[in-house]
Amino acid sequence: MEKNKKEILGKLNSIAKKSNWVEEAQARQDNKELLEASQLIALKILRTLRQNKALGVTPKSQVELADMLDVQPQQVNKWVKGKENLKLDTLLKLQRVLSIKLLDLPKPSIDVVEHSKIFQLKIVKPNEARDRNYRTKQVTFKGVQEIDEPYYKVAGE
Amino acid sequence: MSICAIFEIISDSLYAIAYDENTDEDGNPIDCFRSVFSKWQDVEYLENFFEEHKNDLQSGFYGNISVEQAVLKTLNEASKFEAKLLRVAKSGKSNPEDGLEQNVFIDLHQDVLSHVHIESKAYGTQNKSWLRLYAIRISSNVYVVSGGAIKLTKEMNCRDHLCKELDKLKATAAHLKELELINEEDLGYIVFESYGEE
Repeated sequence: MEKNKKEILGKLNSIAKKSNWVEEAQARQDNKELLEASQLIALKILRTLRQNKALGVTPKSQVELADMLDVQPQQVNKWVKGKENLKLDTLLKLQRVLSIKLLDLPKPSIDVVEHSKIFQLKIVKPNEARDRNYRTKQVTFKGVQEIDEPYYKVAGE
Repeated sequence: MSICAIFEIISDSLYAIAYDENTDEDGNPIDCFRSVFSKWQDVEYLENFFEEHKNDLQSGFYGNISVEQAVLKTLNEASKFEAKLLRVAKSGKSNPEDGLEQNVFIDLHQDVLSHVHIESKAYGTQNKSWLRLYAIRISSNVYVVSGGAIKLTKEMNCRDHLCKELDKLKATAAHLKELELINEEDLGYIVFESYGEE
């Protein structure tokens, strides 16, 4: 068989068309993280619909879900294949309609930091700072422009 | 189902059959290799498949796993398997060591076309992949893929979707014979199963 390899390949290559697999596979590998997230969401939606169907709860099909979200069923079908980049508002709507968690981001506790002084900073001309009795802090613009006398000052009120 | 074209997947190395039932929106044929990997990444298809084959899934052959776990396992293995093939596609020609024979089509099953009971080397090992590519070797390191399947059972002739794959293998062999790319005596030892990633 080996001695005919050249002949076999010649014949095969003369009739074979070029597949798009390499491009598609490369795109899947390049977007792996996004694809995995999309697949997890798709699976959650599908399992919830199946569970709803068993329990007789709405929505129990892709069509019902599309209806509740006011989108075309074809759109929902794209989502459940796990190949779509879903928008944040779509995810929030899906969460609400299906009563499931798709975005489970932990909410960080908000630490209230007591700042002793908070200044509102304004850039003003020196005479304006004087006239209005601003507490001023001189700022030089080193690295931007070398000047002897700073024209602008930063005022804290 | 009839064969309508042959596609080149990896130059001078991997080819795939296109069947007339599988076309894109414009009616152009899609090769089975491309469609197999697309299906193995399609969550809706996988969820339906494993629901339909829940009994096989939970029979203990691959352990007792849930539909969700099976879908995620398949997505993960298909992605790894595809990455491996992509590496071969990119480096196989420049480095023969990275060719299909050394890396992908490693398990030879003799007389598959005449014996329906195929012994799979994957059975009994829970860590083994259930992804299968079916191909006919027409020369060293040259394969024509006839299809692919998720194989949850030991034998190939006991489930409709696997029987269909056997039919596709036979149709591919007949087509290649018609094109004089293989001859009768080749048929005994040219059928391969390729396993997905473990």
